[in-house]
Order: sequence, then C-alpha cells, then structure tokens
Amino acid sequence: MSNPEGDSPASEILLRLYIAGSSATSRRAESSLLDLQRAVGPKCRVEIVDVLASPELAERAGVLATPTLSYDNPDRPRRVIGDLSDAKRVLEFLGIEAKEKPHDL
Amino acid sequence: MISDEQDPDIPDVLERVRTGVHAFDELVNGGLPRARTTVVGGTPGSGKTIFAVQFLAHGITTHGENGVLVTFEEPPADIESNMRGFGWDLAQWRMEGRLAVVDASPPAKEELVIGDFDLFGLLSRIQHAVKSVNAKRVVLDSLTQLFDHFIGDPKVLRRELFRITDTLKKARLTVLMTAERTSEYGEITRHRLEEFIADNVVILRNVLQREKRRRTIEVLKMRGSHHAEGEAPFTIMGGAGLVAAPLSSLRLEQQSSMVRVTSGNPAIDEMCGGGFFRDSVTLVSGATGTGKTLLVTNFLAGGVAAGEKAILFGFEESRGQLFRNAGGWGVDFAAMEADGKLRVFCLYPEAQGLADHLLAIQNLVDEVRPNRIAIDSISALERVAPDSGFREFLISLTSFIKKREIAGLYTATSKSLVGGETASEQHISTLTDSIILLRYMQEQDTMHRGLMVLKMRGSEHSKEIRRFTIDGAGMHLGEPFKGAPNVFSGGDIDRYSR
Repeated sequence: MSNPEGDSPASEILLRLYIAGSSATSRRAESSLLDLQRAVGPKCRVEIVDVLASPELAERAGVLATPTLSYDNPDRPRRVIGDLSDAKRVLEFLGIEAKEKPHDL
Repeated sequence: MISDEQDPDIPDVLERVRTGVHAFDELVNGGLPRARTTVVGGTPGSGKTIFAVQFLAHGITTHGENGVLVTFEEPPADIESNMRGFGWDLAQWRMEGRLAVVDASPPAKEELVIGDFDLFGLLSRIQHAVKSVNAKRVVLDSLTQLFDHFIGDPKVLRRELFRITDTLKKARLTVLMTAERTSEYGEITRHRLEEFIADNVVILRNVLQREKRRRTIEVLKMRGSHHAEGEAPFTIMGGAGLVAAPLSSLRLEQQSSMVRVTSGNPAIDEMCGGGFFRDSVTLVSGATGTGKTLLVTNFLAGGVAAGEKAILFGFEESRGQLFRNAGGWGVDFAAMEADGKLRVFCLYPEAQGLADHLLAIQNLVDEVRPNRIAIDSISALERVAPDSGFREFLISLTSFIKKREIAGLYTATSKSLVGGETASEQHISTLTDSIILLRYMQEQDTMHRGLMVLKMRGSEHSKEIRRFTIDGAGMHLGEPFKGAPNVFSGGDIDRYSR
C-alpha cells in the first residue's frame, strides 16, 4: 500500500475520513473533522473517501465501519470509528497535539 | 388455532441452492432456499468454515454460480492454504474471476469507537465484490468475530447486520453465515444472532461420546419449508470436505421387489417360502457357534453359483479366518475372488467411527456393484457406537442396501448362549425384512441347534423350529422340534411381532 506520508514533509499529518454517502453521521463526522483540522493547524491535511463511490479504496484500507478516521502514522497507525463529536478524545487517541483548543461541541 | 405457521409472503416452492453436502441437501428438500439467509452455528472445530467454503466451491465448480467469501477471522491466505487439502483452489478461482474475497480480518491498527457508526464500509465492499464476479452465493465467516470486534455496540451491530442481510437478500443472493457456539447443547449462538437475521438455522456438532468423536449436522429452523429432523452424522474427508450420511430422510420408500433369490441353502429357501426377496435385508441372530458365519458363507456361495456378485464385510474375523471357515464347509472364497465374483473386506470395528464405516461400505458397494452383501457381524459395530448413532447407522445402511436393490444379510451375536437377545436385535428387528434365529436348544439332557424363521415381510414362511446339524458339507436341516422348550420366548416373540 502506498504511504502518502512518504513523500510529504515529516511534520505533515494526513487524516483520511471514510464516509458513506451523505448519511447524517457521515455529514456530522465531516464537519467535526473540519473543526479538528482548524484546531491542529496548517500541517494537517484531510482526505475524504466515500465508500459507496469507491468501495475498492475501502477494501484496500480494510474499512468496515463508517465513519472511520484513519491516521496512518507509521509508528502507531490508529483509527477512530464514530462521528468524531468528541474532538478532544479523538486527538488524544491519535496522539496529535492541537495548536488551539478544539471547539467545545 | 387456525393460524398458519408459514409466512404469507413465501412462495409455495422455494428455489433450492445445493450446498454440495448431498445428504444435507436431501434433509432440506434439495438445498438452502435461494435468496435466504442461513446461519450455521457450531463450536470451534465443528467444521463451520469448511461447510461454508464447500457451499461456495460447489456453486463454482458444479453450478456455475460464483461466490464471495467475507472472512472476519482468518486472513485470506490462511483460509486458502487450509482449504487446499479439500481440493478447493481458492486462489485459482480468484484469478479466474469466479470467487472474490473480502478481507475483513481484524487490522493490526489500534481502534477507538466513539459515537454512532454504521457498517456501510463492509456492505459496499461486499456489494463491490458481488458485482465484480457476478456472485450468486455469499459467505460471511464468522459473525461472532465481527461482534467481538465491535463488542461495545451489540445494538448497532444487530441493526447493521440486519441491513446487510436484507440488502443481500433483495439482490437475490443466497447467504450463509457462520456463528460460534460456546457449548454443543446450549444457546444457539453467542450474541443470539440467529434470532434477528436468520431465515434458517443449521447446527454443526462435534461431540465426544464414549471416547468417540461424533460429528453431526442438524437443521434447527427452515422458514417456510419442511426439513427432516434429527442429527445426521458426518465426517470431514480430505479431498471432499463434509460428507454426511443420509438419515431418516430416507424413509422406507424403496420399492419392494417380489423377485426371490436363494439363501444358499435349499431347505431355508423353502422355509422362507421360496428364498429371500432380492432387495430385502435379513438378520441372522444367534449365540456364538450356532452357525451364523456358515449361513453367511452359504448366502455368498449361493449367489455366486447363481451368477451373482457378492461382497462380504467382516468385522469379527480376519480374512484368513473367514477363508479357512469357508474352506471347512467346502466353499472356496479365494477362487470366487479370483473370478471377480466375490470381494471380502475385513475391517476393524474400532478403526473408525460409524459414519466412516457407513461411507466406506457405500463407496465399496458403489464401486463393486454387487447383487448381494453380507455383514458379519453388525453387533460388532455396535461396540463402537454411541446408542443413537448405531440406530442411525442401521437405518442408513439398510435404506442404502434396499435402494441399490441388493439382497443383504446381517448377523448379530447374542450374548447369552441359550435363548437371549442382542441389543442389535432390538434396533434391527423393525428395520430388517426377515429375521432368522439360531439357538441352542436343550432337550432333556442333550443340546441341539434350532433354526426358526421369525419374520418374513411380505411372504408366508414356515413357523416351525427346525433342528439342524453342521458338518464338513455345511448345514443340514432336520425334523422340527416337537414341544420345544421355552428358549425362543422370554420376550423374543413379543419383541419381533410388529
């Protein structure tokens, strides 16, 4: 599998969000993720994959549940499943430091 | 009270999808209903994955129906190598576009679940796989692993699994899902999956009974259609997968022919009203030394003399012993075998389970295609059988013999020398068409041998108890006993009189 971080600056953080079309949870997760990206700052890149449109990407990543947020840090790859509403816990679990305090949602 | 148990939306005849486990398909009227969901429950090691993959393999190789395998537990590479021994080359089918595998085995990544989620990722991967090979059959192995993956959210899982099965059914896919059980006779599956997603429930068991492993398959529920009840024994064979022994599904539907064949002894033929029927099974019961093996020898020799082919399955004596016995009565087994008229197979009863014995007998019979078959003795096989297993074995064997229109002869050894009964007799008496008793009879102060035809289905027969002697030329029937002592009663007659 290609590792997108391989050819990016080491400091860059790529968060990939797998969603299913425009379901309510998917939309909630998308907007939570954008908040999260703002809180982390410019080094945070975000990619959104719709599993309904690209099932082969879900297959390659082994995604079962949506929404799934995937952080492919080579040292400690981690995933968060759910609507990401608790931004603080999400960042803690992924081991990403926020520049500013994420919104209290 | 008038309510019909069948769902109103079920068409009268459900199309069937054969699983490749033939005896199982017979239990369920030809296979699993098309576009339905079947949960196969079993303890670890009960053969769930093998059954599931066999269902796919049979579709691919025999019916041109491609399949999708969703694996939650073992990585695809493991399953592929595990299944190779059964003759199923999953990797090859994958390359040919006849099989697609969805790898849903647990990722190495750490995972946190917070908040609501759905399983559209899984569903769309399955749909994608189905589309890519135009699949008709889908296997999910095993759901329990998926539940354990999302252990904190059983409610979400139920909702999502319901959605997945519903979507697959609407796409006319026949779905087989495996689920783990914790005990052989406890709750049906962990998480009680079967309650909300399964149209049909099948249980595989793997039980230790009297130090013998006994595998069975049972249909617990089949929505909208009938199925045979009870546990059918099966074995797992290399190169074949699950092989089940047909059971009660084979009711006594065999045509009974009126063609008579010789028992090998003219006097006994006469007592039976002209010989045995061609597709009937006769039981010869008696204490040790009463002449059962002699009757078997006559039965085989009589068939060969009439131009028939015969098989003898010996479970008590060695080949050498049987050949010597026969030679002592003027019958040359070796010459018969050399002419291709007779085959003698000696098997050690304890060598394998009853289901394996049954399959071995069936395979040899289908290979040799004999006109008559003798089993000496059936009671030796009872030693290795847990109680219910022996009866099932007998039912299966007897129906098989009759279906092939073969004349069968079983022997059973009674435990006591005078009078008495064997447990086999109880089992067999209603299953066999004819019963011949050989007994030691005391008359004043001498011991004689007596022979009686106790039952002869569909025919008149002599009711006398005949004296007989055995010498170098075989068995000689003499005069009937007059005022016979009470050795045939003591319950015998009552037991057989139905």
